[in-house]
Amino acid sequence: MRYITLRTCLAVLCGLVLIATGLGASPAGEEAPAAAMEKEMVLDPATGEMVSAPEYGGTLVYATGGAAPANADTHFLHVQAMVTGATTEKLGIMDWAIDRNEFSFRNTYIPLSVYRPHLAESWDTPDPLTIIFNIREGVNWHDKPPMNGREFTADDVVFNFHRLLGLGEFAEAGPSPFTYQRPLGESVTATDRYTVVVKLPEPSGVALGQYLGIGLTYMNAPEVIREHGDVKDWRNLVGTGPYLLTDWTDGSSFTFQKNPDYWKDDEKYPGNRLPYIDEIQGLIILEEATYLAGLRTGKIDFLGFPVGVSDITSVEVLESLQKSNPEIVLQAWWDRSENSYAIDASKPPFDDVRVRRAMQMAIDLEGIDRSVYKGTSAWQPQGIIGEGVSAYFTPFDEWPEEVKKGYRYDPAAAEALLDEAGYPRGADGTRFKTVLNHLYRFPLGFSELAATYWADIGVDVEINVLDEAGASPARRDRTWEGLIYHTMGNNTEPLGFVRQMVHSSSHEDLHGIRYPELDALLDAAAATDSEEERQRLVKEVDLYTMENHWWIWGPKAGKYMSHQPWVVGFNGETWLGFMDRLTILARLWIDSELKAEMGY
Amino acid sequence: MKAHVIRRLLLVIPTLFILSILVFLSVRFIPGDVIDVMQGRLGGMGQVDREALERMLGLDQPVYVQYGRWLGDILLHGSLGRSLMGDWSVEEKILARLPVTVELGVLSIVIGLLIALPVGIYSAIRQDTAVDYAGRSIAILGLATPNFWLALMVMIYPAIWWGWSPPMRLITFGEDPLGNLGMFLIPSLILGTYLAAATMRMTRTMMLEVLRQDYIRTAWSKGLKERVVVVRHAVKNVLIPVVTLIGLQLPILVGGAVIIENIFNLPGLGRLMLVALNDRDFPVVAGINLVFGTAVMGINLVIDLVYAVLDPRIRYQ
Amino acid sequence: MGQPVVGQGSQRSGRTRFLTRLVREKPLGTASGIAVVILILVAVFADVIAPYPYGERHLPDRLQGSSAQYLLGTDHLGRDLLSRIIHGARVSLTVGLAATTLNVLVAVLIGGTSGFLGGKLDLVVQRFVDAWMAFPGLLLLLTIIAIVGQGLVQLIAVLGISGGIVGSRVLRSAVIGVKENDYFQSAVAIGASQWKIIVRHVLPNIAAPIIVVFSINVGGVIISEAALSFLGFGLPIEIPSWGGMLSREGRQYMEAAPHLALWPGLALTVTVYSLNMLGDAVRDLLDPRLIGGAGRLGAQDTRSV
Repeated sequence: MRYITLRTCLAVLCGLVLIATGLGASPAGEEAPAAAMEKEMVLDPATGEMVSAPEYGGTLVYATGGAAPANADTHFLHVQAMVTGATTEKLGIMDWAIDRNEFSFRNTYIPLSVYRPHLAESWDTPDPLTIIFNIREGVNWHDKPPMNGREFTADDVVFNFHRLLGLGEFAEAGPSPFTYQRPLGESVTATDRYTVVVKLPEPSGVALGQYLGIGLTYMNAPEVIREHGDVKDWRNLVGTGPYLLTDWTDGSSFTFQKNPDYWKDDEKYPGNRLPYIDEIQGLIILEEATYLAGLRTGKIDFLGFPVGVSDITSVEVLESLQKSNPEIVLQAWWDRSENSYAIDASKPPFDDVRVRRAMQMAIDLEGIDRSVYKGTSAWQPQGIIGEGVSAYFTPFDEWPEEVKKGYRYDPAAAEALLDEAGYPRGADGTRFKTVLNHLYRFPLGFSELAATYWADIGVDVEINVLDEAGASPARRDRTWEGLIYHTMGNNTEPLGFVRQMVHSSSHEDLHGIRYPELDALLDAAAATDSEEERQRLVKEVDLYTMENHWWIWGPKAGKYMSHQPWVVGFNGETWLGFMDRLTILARLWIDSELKAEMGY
Repeated sequence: MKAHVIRRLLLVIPTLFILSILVFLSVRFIPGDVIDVMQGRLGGMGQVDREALERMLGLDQPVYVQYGRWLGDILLHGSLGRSLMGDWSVEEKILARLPVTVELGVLSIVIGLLIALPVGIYSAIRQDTAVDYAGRSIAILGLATPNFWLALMVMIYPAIWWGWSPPMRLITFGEDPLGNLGMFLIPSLILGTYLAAATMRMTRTMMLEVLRQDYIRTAWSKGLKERVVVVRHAVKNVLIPVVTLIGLQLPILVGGAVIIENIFNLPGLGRLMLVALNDRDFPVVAGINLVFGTAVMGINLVIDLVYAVLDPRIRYQ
Repeated sequence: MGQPVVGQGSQRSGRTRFLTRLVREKPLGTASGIAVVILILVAVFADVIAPYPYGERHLPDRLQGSSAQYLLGTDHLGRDLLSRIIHGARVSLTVGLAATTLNVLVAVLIGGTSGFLGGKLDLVVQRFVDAWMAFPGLLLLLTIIAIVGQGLVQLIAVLGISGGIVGSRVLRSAVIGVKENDYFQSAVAIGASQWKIIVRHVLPNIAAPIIVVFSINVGGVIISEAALSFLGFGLPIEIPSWGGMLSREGRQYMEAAPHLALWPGLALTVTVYSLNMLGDAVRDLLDPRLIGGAGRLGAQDTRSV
């Protein structure tokens, strides 16, 4: 009886779906191409494609998920730039006009070669201990008290760098507590209105990049900080950027208004003063279902990395979105594999490389790619560094055959290895038990799946889910055992990241053993002047760890940014420098005609 | 009577004290702290200066000193401290978020009563009839269906099928009263149906009990006019325990609000709490719990006292 | 040595009479009762009934709808959903029953002692109970689980003890109600021993509210587990609980594979509904107040349910 009722209910539901899909047929459908013919089109120099011509005006609504900023002062955490990033600016910015075939922006790697002058007009390193920044003339602060549009000068830069480093008037307050992101600096002085000289205590290959564009070098208004002590209160935020933050409804939304006196032209279309869009609204939405509903119903124009943690990560959601709303534009990007794990190689059973290799060989990477990711993932094993940083990346095909063998799905060979290593199947079929420490915000599906593959070879893996705050002490104090979440194939700053993962001086020691030989290679890579030599050394270290199975590789799944078709000028870019995400929105425009045609 | 009121008020003091220790300590036993969260946000790429931050945030002091300061701030300055993550004032933030949660709560309770009272009363009058079963079934189904499932279905399917979704951005009552009510209606319905089950059950039981009293049976048998009188009389009797029950449901309501606020994107205290818990933002978590706890105790105290006035036989034991 | 046996026959006939009344007067309660019995059988014989082991992976068949091979379809790892729901019944019932039993124990221990002994102890204990009850329910559970970690035993302990503290109020009132009764006063007057009084007079008289209140609690516990799962504080992933299925894969694939949420959700709803309806029916039959003015025992206690 109950079953029949249920079936009837389902039938009725299905009926509703059919009716709904009928009703919901895209209103834009047929007319759009005809109308587009008359529309003025221009060439996008970065992609070589024709797009509707830039236009001014309109409103863009985005949704941001994940950790919303707690206040508006980037001095206390770079995450704050998720709300201040279009208001305050840095000395350098990545090249928006660059040919996307040359640099795709579809990962978070920031090579210094792509950096272009921004608030600094140029820079120079006359000797290894000196960096000179020539500050751009004619840049004004927002027309907002207490700055009231006064000119941005070298003194402002000195003030901000002093605050970052705990120098000058900030000697007592001390430097920013975020040590890694803080560059070295002995003194910062303004030699004239537009020149800043930074003296380093020792030569550093990374200092210039850090001063130009780390998360803490946003230029804040000295007058505001002198008056209030900081810019934690968003009402006090004044910058030089394309937008002014005009409202921040706590826990709910941000509103940005165009800065009518912005100083910069569109890098792609010189002569077009930025920004294009009049008002930008950011909604803080933590639940994926909720922001997707907003996208489907046109309440939200933009989702994805540039505006926060609102990428689509599952192929199923992607397909469902494509089916229900084919007009939505999707942009794929790959930054790293979040389906990989680090192994504690200091304790049994994982102190034996055969056991580690067996764990890897138990997983059917290609099969998982086919079934779970529908062939969209980068399933071929990668090292610590991913394909996005091609100069530091060794493709799987070029790995030695011996190493490759350890990454091919072969459960029988894996079982043989475990037998050989002295872990025979017990009476219940189990060889040993271990724990997989999973990070809550990483996709869980692969961890669950991997556990079933390991069960196939007799390894009983229990999944322990850690949240962000619980994971840090576990990693720091090494209170975990077995396997722990880790990212592989990272498209990020290569030498720094590999050092972080491998070098003895790193605060994190995931695998539990130190290799002086690897330290020596990495030290040599940091010291050398030759970029090619550095690439060779980093690749050697990376391959060594893969050969010794310090990590378990899992497929690198694509992430998808999504936006309405009337948002123009976007090509899946992630950021224009560390945390320079929102500033991308200043370079996009709204095709108002298309939007109106589609009934919004 | 006076003695009873004074006694009841005095008893609140030790309870509040225990509550303050409970809310202050509990969150500190959770593994990890706000500095670990900041470390995590650096994405494994950097390191924070733990010692400097501990000094900056006052986490280097022993827990009892921290508790003493916290309690002192509350008693002397009426301040709940500052957020460790954002350095804003906890009491200001709570006051700013309170209206959303209160509106959600009040609407849910009203909707819950609108469902529970008629169903409960009618079910009792028509005990063991189809109407009784249907009414109760609907009310109990509200309890038996997980809130978040209903909420997610409302969010996902209409958007796919009809291109419709609930509002995404908070509309305050001042801006647009109708839009505001529209935004709160669906979440309140979901929470309200959840609360309705217990209230309905209470109402029904009380009604059944009252209806079995001899004098009522006699009146009942006399005809329709009497029945109206009876129902009115019975309902009056039922209302007091129902109000008590609502007081007891407040903590459940607050819990439910955590999930519902998240899905319907209502920036209330539940959502603030969840974020603060993830951030290990101790003063915020403790502050919200203290405010909730005190509010629940206060409301229950008022209910108790009103109850004692209305029904002098029942005094606090 | 306790109570003299009053005669098996009369007890059995009492039970039969109760059952007859249940079937005759409460068809919905009976149906719910049958559903609960079926559920218990499914839980007990899960290994036999389930067509597949609940963790068995059929990756190429993932996210399929109902078919002859997989009656309720498969989940995101290609595991048979029916088998998982059958095993989920075992998990949900285990959690529900174990936590509820713990509820009763804690409630009787705290409420019973506090109410029976009264005085200063009662005063102090009740302040703790007050503070505990004022703490928002779900937030309290979240915090405790974050401290003790996720696991079956932890979850049962947390839900059981926390619910028991709240439930102790009911027990306390019931015990105080009994204490004020005439027969109890006379038992004390004749100088009966404390234990005898508890066993003979207190326990039997508070049994009805205990049964009713806590039978309904089983459903509440199952719902709580689901809510905790939704917030990421439920049972470990390896354990197939309905709440976990609904709030993890069910939620993630709600668009592409609605059946992943539908079936565990329905299982949960039907179970909680049946438990509640059964509890209500039993209360209607057992509660002395509802059988034509047989007394006002426990009149106050059920008010706080």
